Amino acid sequence: MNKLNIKRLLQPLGQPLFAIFCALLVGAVAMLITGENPLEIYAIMFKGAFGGKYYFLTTLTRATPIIITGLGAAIAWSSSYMGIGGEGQMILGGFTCALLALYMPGPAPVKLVISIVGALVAGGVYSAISAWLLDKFEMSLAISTLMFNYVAQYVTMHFVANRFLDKSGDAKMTQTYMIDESLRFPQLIPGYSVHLGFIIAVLLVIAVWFLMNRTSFGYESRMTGFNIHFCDYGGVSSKKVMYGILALSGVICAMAGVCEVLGTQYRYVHGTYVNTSYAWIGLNAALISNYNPFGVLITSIILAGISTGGAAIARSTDVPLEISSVIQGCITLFISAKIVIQLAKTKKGGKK
Amino acid sequence: MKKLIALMMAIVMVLCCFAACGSSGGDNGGDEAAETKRIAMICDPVGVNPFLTQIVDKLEEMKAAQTYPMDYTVVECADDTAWSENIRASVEEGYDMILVVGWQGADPLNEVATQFPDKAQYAIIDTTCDNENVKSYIFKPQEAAYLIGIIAASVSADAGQPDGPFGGVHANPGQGSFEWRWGYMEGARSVNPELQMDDFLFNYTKSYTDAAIAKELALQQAAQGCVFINAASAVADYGTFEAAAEKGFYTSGQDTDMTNPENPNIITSQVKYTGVVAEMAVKEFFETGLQPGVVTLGLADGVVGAVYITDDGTNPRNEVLTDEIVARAREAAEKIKSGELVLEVPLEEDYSF
Repeated sequence: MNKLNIKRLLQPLGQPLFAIFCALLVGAVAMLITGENPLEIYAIMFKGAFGGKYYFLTTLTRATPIIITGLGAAIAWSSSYMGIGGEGQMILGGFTCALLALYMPGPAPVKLVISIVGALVAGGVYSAISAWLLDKFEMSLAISTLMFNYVAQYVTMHFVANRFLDKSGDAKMTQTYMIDESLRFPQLIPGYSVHLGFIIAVLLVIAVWFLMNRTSFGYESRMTGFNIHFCDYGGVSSKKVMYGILALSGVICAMAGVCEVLGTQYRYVHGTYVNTSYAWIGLNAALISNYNPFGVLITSIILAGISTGGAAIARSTDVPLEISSVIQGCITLFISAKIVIQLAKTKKGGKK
Repeated sequence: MKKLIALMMAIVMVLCCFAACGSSGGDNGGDEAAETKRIAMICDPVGVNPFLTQIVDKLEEMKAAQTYPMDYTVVECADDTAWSENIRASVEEGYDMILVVGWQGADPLNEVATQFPDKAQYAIIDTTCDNENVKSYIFKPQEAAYLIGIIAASVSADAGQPDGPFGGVHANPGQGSFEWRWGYMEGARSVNPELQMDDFLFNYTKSYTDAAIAKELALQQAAQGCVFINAASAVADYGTFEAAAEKGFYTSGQDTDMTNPENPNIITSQVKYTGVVAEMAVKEFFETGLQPGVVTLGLADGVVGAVYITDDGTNPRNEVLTDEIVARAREAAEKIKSGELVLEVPLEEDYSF
């Protein structure tokens, strides 16, 4: 009994660990070819990601938006709504949050609540528009959400550059002013970058797990994922569920933007969410962990560790930064291989 | 499952063997110079970006010359978050001087320098960091751009088009790059005061590396009749150069001397000698310790300039850049150096003519 439980708990971890192991292996081959000692490099990388308080906490900071966008993706994808608009929703969330925090009048707690709620609503509505397009015009969700990423990126850029630009310095960065100190998330340990957002991310993991596994909404959404006709036949409105799922996914992704604004940068900076690929790495984490929220948590921390560890390699060896990109690319590759195998399996099952 | 674990273990063991072979040549030579100061240069991926390669080359040169007991590491940042991680980590890892190159580093450096004022000395190039522990080095690229503007207007006038249009393929719109456009427009207007804002065409690659886009934009501007197109999008400028060779318009390079005997249509280049700045910073670090504050570097400091105007160039000069034009531009350069002509960049939204 006890053994079974442990096995069940470990099961969601098996797949991601295996994919990451294979990727590290390919990375090692790449390093051997360039004439480096992979074990030494991996030791540096591991130390730079998890070895020591400072490095581990930095990794957790980087993991925070990845975990949250990963959860947003997991909710939608596990119901077979393959939206890739996490980036756009995160941008809109961060942007709205920063503006409300900057320009809303009122006492700090009220401002804080309104800026967070406003950001979440913005992300949810933005995602719901894609749902509406799918519903009314049968527009491919993948295409509409992808395009909405660009729309969000450039519309916010316009507003930041031409309306809300921080002109206190030399105005070289397209960014808003800094928000007031009373509105910022506290650092969990003074002097280290990890902030309240990480706690929020962990709570969200639990909440999403509960929602997906212990509520009727979670059940319905899983059913639409399995078989949409069955769902309609069983008296569940699949459309309602679709709107619900996609809006919720947008709300969660917007939360990632909120955490970045209130927790790390204290302002909206154009381009940061795009060039860090947070939402994409989050989607990656969701895929690796089979949409299991706890898997998303662990995988996101590992993927963030690969980035922070990659920077450590660049700081202390001659290995180019691109090596950590190679490893990340390999992970994606191994995971997509898994998807194909899964599809092949379901097809077989269907034939029976 | 067991088989899988066995396989993983086997692979790890094989790898260990390889690694053991590889590591036998590791260095354990004694480090006799205990006084060696370690410098961390934190920047974008260097690649072939002359703005950064000049600094790296200068650091290498200074290290080789052994004037100062120094060692340096180039820390390239893959994304915006990596900037704050690397700056903070460099302090953690005990670097003595932290040289940040690029405006992405301003916020994180500000935070770190406030938190650890004594752990290291801090300098930033290309933007100001409003912090009492940081030395900021900024440029006045508008002074070089002004000279380019004079050349653009003069060359166009000689070609029978004194009223333009004048082209510009730049990287990003916005205040951050306005100094380039403003200097260019002001320079052209100093030759022909009749010019209107509409006579200047600016298009943006939104990338420092996308040469294909730059070429496309340059071709469009050439089709609208530009005689001169100012290229200011870093590595993407190669696209503009290629278009110049095809369509016959004139252009200028950026950051370093980009003139090329193979492509005579690149008639000048607005240069930024970033290596000089790096040398200044390192020298100050060793001699007096970095003195916090802001230093603005322009033509008078020999840090920015235009090829054939502030120097004599290394390649043969294209004859469209006549002695008359060069004399005129040099005269302006002297005025700027002496302080007779002051070029202060206004806010873009306040600027019109």
